[in-house]
Amino acid sequence: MSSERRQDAAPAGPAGSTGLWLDDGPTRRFLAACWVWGLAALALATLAGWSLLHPELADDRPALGFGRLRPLVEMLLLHGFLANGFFALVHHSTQRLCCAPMAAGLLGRVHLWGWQLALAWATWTVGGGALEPRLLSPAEAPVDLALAGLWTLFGVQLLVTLTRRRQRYMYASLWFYLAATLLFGGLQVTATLASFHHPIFGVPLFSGAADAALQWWYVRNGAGALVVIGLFGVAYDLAPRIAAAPLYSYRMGIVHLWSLLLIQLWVAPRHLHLSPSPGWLSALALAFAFLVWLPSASGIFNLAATLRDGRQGQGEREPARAFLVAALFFFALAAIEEPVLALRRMSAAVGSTDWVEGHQEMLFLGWGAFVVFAGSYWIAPRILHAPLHSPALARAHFWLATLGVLTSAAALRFSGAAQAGVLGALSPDGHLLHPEFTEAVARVEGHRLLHVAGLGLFLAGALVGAWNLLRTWAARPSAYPSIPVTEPPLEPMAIAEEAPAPPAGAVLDGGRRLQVFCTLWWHRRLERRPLRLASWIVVAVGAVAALQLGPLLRAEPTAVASLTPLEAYGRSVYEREGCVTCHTQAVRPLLADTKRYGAISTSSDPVERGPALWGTRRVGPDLAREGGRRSTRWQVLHLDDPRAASPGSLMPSYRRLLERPRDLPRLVQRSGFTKRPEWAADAAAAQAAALTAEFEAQHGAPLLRPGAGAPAALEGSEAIALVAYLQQLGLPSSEIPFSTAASEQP
Amino acid sequence: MPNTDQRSAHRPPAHGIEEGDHPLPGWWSVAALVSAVLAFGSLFLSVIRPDLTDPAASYERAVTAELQAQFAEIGNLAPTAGTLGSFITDPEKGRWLRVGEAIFTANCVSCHGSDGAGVSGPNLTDDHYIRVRELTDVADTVIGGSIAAGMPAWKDQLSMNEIVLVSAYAASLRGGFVDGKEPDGEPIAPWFPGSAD
Repeated sequence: MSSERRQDAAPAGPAGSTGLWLDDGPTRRFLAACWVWGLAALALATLAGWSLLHPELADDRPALGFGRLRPLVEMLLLHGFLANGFFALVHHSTQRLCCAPMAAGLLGRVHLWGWQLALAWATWTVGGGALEPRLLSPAEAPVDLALAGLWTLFGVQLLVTLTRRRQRYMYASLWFYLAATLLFGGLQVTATLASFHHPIFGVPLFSGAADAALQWWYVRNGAGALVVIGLFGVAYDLAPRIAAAPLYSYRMGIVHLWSLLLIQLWVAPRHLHLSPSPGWLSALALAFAFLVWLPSASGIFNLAATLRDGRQGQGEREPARAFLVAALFFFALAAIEEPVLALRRMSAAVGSTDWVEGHQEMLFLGWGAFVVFAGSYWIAPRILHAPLHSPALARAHFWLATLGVLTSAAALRFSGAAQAGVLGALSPDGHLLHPEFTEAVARVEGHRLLHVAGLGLFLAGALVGAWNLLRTWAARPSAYPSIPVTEPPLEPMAIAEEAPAPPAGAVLDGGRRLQVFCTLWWHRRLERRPLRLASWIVVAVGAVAALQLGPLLRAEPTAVASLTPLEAYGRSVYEREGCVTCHTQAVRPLLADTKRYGAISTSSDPVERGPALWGTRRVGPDLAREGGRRSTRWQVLHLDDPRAASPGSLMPSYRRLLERPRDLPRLVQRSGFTKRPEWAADAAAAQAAALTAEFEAQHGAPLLRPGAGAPAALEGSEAIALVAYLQQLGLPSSEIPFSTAASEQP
Repeated sequence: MPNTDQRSAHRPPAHGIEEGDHPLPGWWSVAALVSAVLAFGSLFLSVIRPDLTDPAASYERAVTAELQAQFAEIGNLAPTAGTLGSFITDPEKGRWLRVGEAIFTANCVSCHGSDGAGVSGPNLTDDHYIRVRELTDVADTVIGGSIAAGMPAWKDQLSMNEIVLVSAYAASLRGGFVDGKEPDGEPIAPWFPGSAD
């Protein structure tokens, strides 16, 4: 690192320079962070897959439970691996495309180290069992706030760099960086708002369908902005350089960007098909699914044609080219799958199975990780000023990663299809052919083992890659040579873009104008005005968001669930322990669903305050109508030893909840009775005592503390709160013995 | 589309990437038009014929069709001793007892065990019962449940026909004497006093 400081401190460069140098220091550091987080995330992903085969691992070690590991893995893959890779590649590419250094300085250092600290903090809290049940954003509100703030710093750096650029027109990659940064930043800020509570009423700002739509917007249009828009920007930079050929088509890039913003964003609510969200949302998602191939196909075609026309992979071009070609191939597979999954019939079949994870994994590992790998192999020799240590090892990495992605993709799709077959099968008489949920679990055990094997191959490949890059780093020169900026600063624009003359053929005035518009001449004007381009991106995204999310955020729920203080506390336990990772709470309008889980979840069901717990994937059964279906005795014994109560289950023991006492401030805060804390505490104690008495009457004896002979402190535990929450799920409030009204009796 | 772009004339790419200006391929525009028509068509259909496109409506149709197919033969059942008994004794109605078994497997085995020998709930294969004294009590217990015994109420979860069939199946398990949970409650008289049972 001392060499870099020397380079910064002594800007006496070669003759003819402008006194400015490109700085690859942040690129090197972000790339190192990317690989460290990436290896950690892949190792944890393999472990998470393994814990699904051996739930007993987590009986005494809650951090190894799938419910916590899976959200942690998703977060580390997105915010640790892919985001750091994006930062590294954007730092490298933006400086070169702008012919100017990145506006980094103190902001840059805060962004670099702050991001890693925030991730370490998030890992600590999520692994320690303080989850927020939000898709891809499992850390609690302060971490969300930190990430939003740090991302804003990055956005500021990018915009300032663009305004100081020494190239008149911004190249396509820069438009994509700008769009990805604005979109992810906007969604991160919104997700942060959603994690905080209403300043006056103390309840979360979003609930029910609005919150569910917001969660999917975060996944599809926030994380999607980073993974798809951002990394396509990177690929637009990599492909022509690797191929040493011109970009195939400038105008296809324009169509790609704007169709991403104006079409792709609409498809996010396809994940809410068959859920208790408004029907128009799902109808719009279905309609736009017919068009969603437009952005994908233009991006894939443009870059594939660029690679095809350029030099084939030999020597130092080989690893980067191979990874980029494979990335485009895997992206094409996911893009073909996307509109198929958007069909309601397909969604009814494989929705909430392992297939859902398979689609996301294809985008994160098959596309995202492969672009980061391609970028790493391309920039490593350039930022480290040393040739790649071993092309043979890079080849090994490529084949291990490709085999890994294909194996785990196939495993998850076969597994999803098998689950759909078992859980959806009805006999001609109309009854469930496989009434026990655990039959589906047993059926996919082999597939899940194959998935772990695929992830293991991918991890092995990444370890080989990391070793290769580490050896390349070891061979770096003692001082990095400086890269001077040779371009002069931009002068005021002499020529303004003008619309081309309308072609002679058109007759109508409107037709002429359309033809002139279709030459895309106006885009050039945007390409030299980063702030105006940014504003138009904000206008486009804002319009789609306002049309789609606006009505949801304004709509009042038809009924609000009135949870007692104890039940509200139970919901907080449900959220914190990551139950939503494996259990959905949304019965779909399908015969197989209602026969298995009870009546359909509809928009007129009472809405619980707080993040929607609709979930995405049924590793275990749906719980929307769990209330009253089983005895309190069964629920308590099941938390204690799930695989004894339900043989073949994948649930680890939550015995620790039986021993952990309830936290009074949390109870008061979650119940919403901050003005009457004693009342909330008394009501919770009364309900807990009644439920414990019910348990003891059914069990015939108090629950014994496992191992010891003494009775467990069930009454004061978190477990009894969780059972209270589960026992009211889906019941009309009049049927619940301890509704708020009942508890208010003296 | 003619290549009207003059970019390269006033911008030599100092950053090293040149831009080609291939127009969009012909198939692309045609496919885009077709997709736009399909998209509007699908949206239009969901506006004018919600009964065809709304999943809730098609679910309602499926439920009606299924009820007709499933219960046209037996009609609406009531939980009387005669009805329950006929499903247990009449071999021609054995098919319906299998339906009851499927309902039992879907809802009851977590407490009563897959063979009815009891887990946390009582053993249903012996002659001892906690609340039940005669055949109709089985259906009443399924309908109303018993908090003291830890038995949920199923009246909102299952249809009356399903309750009758599952009650008949549960009652038919009696006499199997499967090894499992120790008997709870007291021994009661046989379901059908006249028979040798």
